[in-house]
Amino acid sequence: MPEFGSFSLLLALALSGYTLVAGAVALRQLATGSRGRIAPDRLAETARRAGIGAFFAVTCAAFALVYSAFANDFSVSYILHHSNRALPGPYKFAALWSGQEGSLLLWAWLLTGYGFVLRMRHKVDVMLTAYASTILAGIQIFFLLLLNFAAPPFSLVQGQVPTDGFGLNPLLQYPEMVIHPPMLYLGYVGFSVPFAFALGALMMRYPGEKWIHITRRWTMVTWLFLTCGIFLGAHWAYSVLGWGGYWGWDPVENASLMPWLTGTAFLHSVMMQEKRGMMKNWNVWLVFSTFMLCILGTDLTRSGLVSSVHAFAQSSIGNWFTGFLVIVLAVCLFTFLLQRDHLKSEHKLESLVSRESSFLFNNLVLLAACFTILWGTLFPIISEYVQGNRVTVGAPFYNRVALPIGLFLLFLTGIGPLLAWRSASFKSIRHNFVLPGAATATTAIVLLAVGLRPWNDQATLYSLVAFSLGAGVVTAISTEFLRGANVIRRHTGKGLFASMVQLTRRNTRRYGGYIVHFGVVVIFIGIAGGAFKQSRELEMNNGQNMSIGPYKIVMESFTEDSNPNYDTEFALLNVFRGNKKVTQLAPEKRFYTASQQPSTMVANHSTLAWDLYVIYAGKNPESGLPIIKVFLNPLMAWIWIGVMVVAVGTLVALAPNLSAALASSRTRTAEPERPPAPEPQPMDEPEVAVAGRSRH
Amino acid sequence: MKLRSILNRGAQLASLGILVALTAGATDASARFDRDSHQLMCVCSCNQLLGECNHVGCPDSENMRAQLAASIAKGDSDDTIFHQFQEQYGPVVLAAPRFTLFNHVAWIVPPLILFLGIGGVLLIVRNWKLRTVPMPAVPDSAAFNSVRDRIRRETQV
Repeated sequence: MPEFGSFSLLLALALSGYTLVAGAVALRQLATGSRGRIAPDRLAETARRAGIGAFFAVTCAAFALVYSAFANDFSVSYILHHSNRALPGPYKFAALWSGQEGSLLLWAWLLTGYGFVLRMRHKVDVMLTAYASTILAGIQIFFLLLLNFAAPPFSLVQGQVPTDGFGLNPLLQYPEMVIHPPMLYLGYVGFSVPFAFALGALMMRYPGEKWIHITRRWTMVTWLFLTCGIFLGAHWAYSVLGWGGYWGWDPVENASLMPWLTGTAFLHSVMMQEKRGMMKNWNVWLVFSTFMLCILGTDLTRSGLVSSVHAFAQSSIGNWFTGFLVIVLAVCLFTFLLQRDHLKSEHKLESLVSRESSFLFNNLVLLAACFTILWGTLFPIISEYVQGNRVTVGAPFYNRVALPIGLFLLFLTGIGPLLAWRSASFKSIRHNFVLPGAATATTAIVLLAVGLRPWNDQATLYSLVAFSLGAGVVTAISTEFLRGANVIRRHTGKGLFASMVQLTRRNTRRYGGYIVHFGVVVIFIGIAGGAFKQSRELEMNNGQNMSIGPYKIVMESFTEDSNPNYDTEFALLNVFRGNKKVTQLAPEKRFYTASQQPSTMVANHSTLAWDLYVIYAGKNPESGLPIIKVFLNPLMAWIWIGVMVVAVGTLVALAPNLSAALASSRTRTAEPERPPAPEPQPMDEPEVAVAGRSRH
Repeated sequence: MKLRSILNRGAQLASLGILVALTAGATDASARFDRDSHQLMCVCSCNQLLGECNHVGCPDSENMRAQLAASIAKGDSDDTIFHQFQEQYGPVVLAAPRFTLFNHVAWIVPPLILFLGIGGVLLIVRNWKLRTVPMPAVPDSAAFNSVRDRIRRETQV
């Protein structure tokens, strides 16, 4: 099987090489009108088919590695180091991405998978897809070179083969680890596709904005995967690492957040290009930057340049990524300089108070957040270079610098959709902002009245601002939904909820976007709850209890157990609220036999108001009693709920827009004398003037 | 004139509020311990804040916490404590850069970039506005007015 895997990777490299060379030659011939022995369109078709073949070859390699894990083939060095006989099946499958070589193989498989879909859907736009396919082939070649020469996953063990493996890192033996890395990689790798389309469109001087329409769905799907991947990682950290938090500003976490921020900026600014033909340079560079940040993040963490708690991070392949990044940057710059006259804006901004300028500020703030994170991640290296010593840039830095930027972004989330395109008058601003403004002010006053003291510490101040702004944004979104639904209700006689559903179906992108914004507010509220976190730690004997918040925790018993994979110590704790038993929790400390490493299994009782998060911190060697650490984390569940809302909103925005179908069915069935319901917009004169045109 | 005076008074009150919010703080020992332990890193190479290091049998965090508690009980200022820790464990023990001139650059650059960006955007908008040829006003016809009024009426919340 290792030989089959190695051969598959070599074959995939050859096929990708052919896709690149044949594709480039064919496109060159098509562009210049020259002809070789084979007609360029037929040559391009062979390149496309070779690209499809590369996907099947990499699939075979991935299958070979997973098969080796299930077959306990410890002659493969990677399997020896990341699996063992007693490892449960799902984690043997997860071994595919639990180490350097395997995760690169996953990357290559997903990349060729995206390429497969792109090449199968080539009829959307044959020429543009041919360019994108050729560019993707270039990226594929880089990863396949790595897999064939720098980090081969099928290297064989030298000398005698051990009878059992060293096991999977205990921290990775958690259900979410089976889904978090593939989700994250789907996000990372997926940005290659918009990048390929953007670069291809620029190379071929693609007329119009159709490439934006083609890539928008790719970008949104990718963005959704990355969002889910990031938050699954945060949930994993919260559930497994046992420090009571979910985000540590580790370089690997930062590396995933940076492309997410630029990707988010692109999803917003691309609307300006679609609607008004503006910001073409900016959008192209946002796509380029997003892809390059994916590579840079991987470079930073895998090269060992910055220290990370992620074990797979340190390796010798950093130079490969640096080289690739330089090549990508050079190609992007060269193409941009050559074709920049193709990217002239069709319109200019007419007013500072308009939807366009809100997008500009939104982009600015997102990029400032991205820069802050990049700066914080790189500063230890810069400091070592300038001062001769490495410093730590950790949570206190990001909390002080990045959080205010995040709050500014929350503010823009609320005001952006309320501004009209082109220009908003003072009258319309007053009309649209009075309710959200009142909600913000009322929330702040109520919170102060119930005892929130923002002058006590910075975290409370930030949480007050987040709650108040959140209330304002939710009011703004609700007002938009209500305004639109009321119009439909008056015209169709449907109920309010049915009207809201119809409204959303008529313009899925716009109202899906509002749902995403609502999810973002819910996430911010969850994060703001962290300001009121409490914790206690106690050495507990049977029958002893401790109190935290409204809960009383009573130790029922503590004991030990073992199975072939690990030994465990755990406590049984009864949780009471008042005199009523709420639940029983069993926090564990495991010691894995194969890897000889300990791991914490947190017990968590989660409600909408707070999480009761309990850790078995080990035994006191002197007394033999377990040490129990308890956190009361307010509003934690809101973060995970918010992510689900964001996912639902994105799916709604991805759904086809039914407004055209509804309009045609209305002309067939509705009463002829009743005029069609106007699409609701933020009130302003210029909006009325263009009320008949399509909206986002 | 009256509006300006109200705005001025509002701005003064807001500044005062912000000043109070930023300068006033809890001073009791447990709150200080909690705050300071989140400004320091555990040096056992776990990359966690001292206040959050949860390793069983961690060789460093217990001693470091005890040292921090003792310094706070002695009445040392935060700066003194952080200096002592830096001398003993090196600059990596501080969870965020401080003390040297260059370290302040870490804090200044991100907001500077944001403000420069805001300035740049304002400049771009101003330039674009200057170059824009205003569109002719929509004719104030009866049909237009009736459509506008209907939209306003129907979208009223």
